[in-house]
Amino acid sequence: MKNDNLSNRDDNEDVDTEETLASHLLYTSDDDDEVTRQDWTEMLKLSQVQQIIPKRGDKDYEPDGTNVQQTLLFNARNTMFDAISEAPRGLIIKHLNKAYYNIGSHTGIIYHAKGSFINNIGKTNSKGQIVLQFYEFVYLVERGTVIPYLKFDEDNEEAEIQLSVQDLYSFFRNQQELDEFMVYSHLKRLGYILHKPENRKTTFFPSNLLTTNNNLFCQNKAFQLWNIFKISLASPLNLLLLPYRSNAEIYINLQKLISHSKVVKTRAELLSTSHQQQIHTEKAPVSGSLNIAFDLWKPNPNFKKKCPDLPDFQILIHNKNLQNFPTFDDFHSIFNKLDYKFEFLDDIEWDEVSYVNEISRKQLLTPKQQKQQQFNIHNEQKKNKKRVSENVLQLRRLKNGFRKFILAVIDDGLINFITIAEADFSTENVWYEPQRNKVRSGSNKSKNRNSKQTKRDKTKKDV
Amino acid sequence: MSKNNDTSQSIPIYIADNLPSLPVTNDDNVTHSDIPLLFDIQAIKKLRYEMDILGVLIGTLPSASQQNLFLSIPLRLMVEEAIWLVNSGKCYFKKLNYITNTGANCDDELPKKYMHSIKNLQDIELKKYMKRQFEYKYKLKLEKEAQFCNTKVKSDAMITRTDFEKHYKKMEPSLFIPISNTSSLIAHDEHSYRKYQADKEFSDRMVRYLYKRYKYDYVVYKHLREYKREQRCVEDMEEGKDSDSERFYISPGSKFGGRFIVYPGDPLRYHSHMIIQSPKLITTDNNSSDTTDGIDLLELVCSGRLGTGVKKTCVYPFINVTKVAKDITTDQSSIDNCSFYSIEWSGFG
Repeated sequence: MKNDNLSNRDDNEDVDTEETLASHLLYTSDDDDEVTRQDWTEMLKLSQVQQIIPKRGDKDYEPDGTNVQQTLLFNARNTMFDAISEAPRGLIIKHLNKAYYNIGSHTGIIYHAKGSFINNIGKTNSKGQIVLQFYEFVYLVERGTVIPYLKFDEDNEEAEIQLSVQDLYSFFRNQQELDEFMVYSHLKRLGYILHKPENRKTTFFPSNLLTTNNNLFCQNKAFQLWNIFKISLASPLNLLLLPYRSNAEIYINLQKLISHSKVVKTRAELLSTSHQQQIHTEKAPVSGSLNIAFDLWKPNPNFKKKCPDLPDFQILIHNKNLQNFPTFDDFHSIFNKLDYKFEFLDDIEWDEVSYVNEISRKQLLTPKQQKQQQFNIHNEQKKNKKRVSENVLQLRRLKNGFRKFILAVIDDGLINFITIAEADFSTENVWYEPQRNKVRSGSNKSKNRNSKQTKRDKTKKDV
Repeated sequence: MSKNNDTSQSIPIYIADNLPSLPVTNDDNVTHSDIPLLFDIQAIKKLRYEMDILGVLIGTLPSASQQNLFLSIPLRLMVEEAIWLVNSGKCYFKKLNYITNTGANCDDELPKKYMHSIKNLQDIELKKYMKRQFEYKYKLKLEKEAQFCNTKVKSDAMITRTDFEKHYKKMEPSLFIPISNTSSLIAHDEHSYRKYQADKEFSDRMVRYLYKRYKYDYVVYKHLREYKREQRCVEDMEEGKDSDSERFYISPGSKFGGRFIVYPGDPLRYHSHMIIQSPKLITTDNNSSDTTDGIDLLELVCSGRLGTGVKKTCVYPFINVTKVAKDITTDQSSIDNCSFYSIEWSGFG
């Protein structure tokens, strides 16, 4: 792009030499800072022929008043606007998909849908039509997959007008919905599958397990009592009866003295906290300001719209300029509302523990699908076969936490995604590890590694 | 209120109003949207070229629909930006949700006659568009055939009616139906006097409403926007030319933990220099109920470190609450109601 710009310059030699010098200076300037300049030139080409997305280009520190900079900027702006205006939204008649907006139900309807987008968007009704949620409708229109129409006379079938993008934006019922749509389309463009959590039938917490789970609940209480008992053991009297013989014993007993809120880590704990949560929510409903906006699945060609598996992530939306940042209580109630593939649970077959109408999802799958799932699990196990040391696992636990959700923070059109997780520092044994000595004895290993590296370096030099 | 009373020359910024009240907002009576949008490419161009206004493109670019770096229409403006544009007479607010707000909440109540006339207009335009496409494609096809047979096609050759009837049906499936960005429903009734009056009243009401909610951020924005930076390069100084003055480009700043980010020129070409933090409020009036915001040392260290890391200066605006006007009509740009302090990590130690 740079060369093109320079070749378009005037023929005047003086100007040319000046500019090439200046441009040389420009290009060697320090610009590691923030690489966010958008090079729309490549995008314009892309609008004509499908290619790979261009890389971002270079930027300058500040305007220096030279013509070179001004032409570069002029070209950059022009290409940007050309790329936008030369990529019209729409369809050729052969692939025409008409979607009708319904003001009353605030949805879009496609009577005869064509294309693969229906695999994970919309719902099929009894008449075989695809009903789109409003955000799905606007996303498909912006993408140029369907053409929006509005019927204004029910008696006359041909009485329909074509809607524009502006018309569709005018139908957003509140700005929260528009913010939700922005997050939806952002993630959709990245290939994720998104749906509202309200209509999902699959759950990790089937009501039959929760109500019959009183035993677990009691066990939990008993466990807490045992803890109190243990703490009382750490009295001066105890020192006489059971004197400490090593540092390790001191540390282990010290740990019992630290009080902490309990973090949910196992399936049984998850089920029991959800049971408690149910009792709480019945008493005091949580304020409706913060709710899970979308369930998020990683791209998956075998995605089932009717009976999906548990989502991989759950996402909340927060408008920075409109709302106060959620409080600790808000976060707490959200953590208890989460219902997704809790990735910290090891060795779990997700189809077995996710339930649809209180029946395990595994039983609902056809034999063919079961085979496919088993094949997938087998592959995953193969991948995860690598043994990781306890130290690394502990660091991972501390860093990643347990239950988590994603908070999309919106600031006037920009979206930042933040992961918020429950961490547990209190029960992790970070100061004392009996295995550490063994690991340390492996310091020879690191020496070996170093010697290997030096060997490699030598061979490189030899080459 | 806008200084320029002629709305025909200024640009419409679309904003929704009379929405069902939201549970999320702090103010329970709020029924308006805070999202100003633009749908016309020419208007967006004008804003960028003539007024140094950026906004954020939020629509999917249909030619590359699987990425988030390059987006398309509509353009979402910052609220402060929109208030400034309208208050300085360059733009005016226009109602976005005109259909759902005109009492036509279900299909039966839509004014059928009006809709029919729009449908007719749309049909005529689409037919014209299709014909032009056909002509272009047909000519291309003829040229290809001629190339194959080594003959020439006359450039001004007319397409006869028989040709049209013969080939149009064959070619029809490959013709393109576009989705327009701007609404034909709203443009249809643009020129009537009553409409103009309604727009002006709406625009004034929205500005007043938004100013009430965002006045402190707006004061900061206004100072940054109206500050003229002298720009003199070495060559100009040698030749004794007058210096150009340039304005800052401002965009939302949550990516760097601030309220705004300030660029010395168009961000397409230049790095940003400053992160403007949310304003701190101070009062000089001892009798007022407002309290003065404190400065958190850790916050300073945090922003100082961040600023050094990303090579930007952190700026803290301080606003004298007693000197900020309560209503936008009495708002006058005075220097003494806002002061800026920049934070930098000194290179000692």
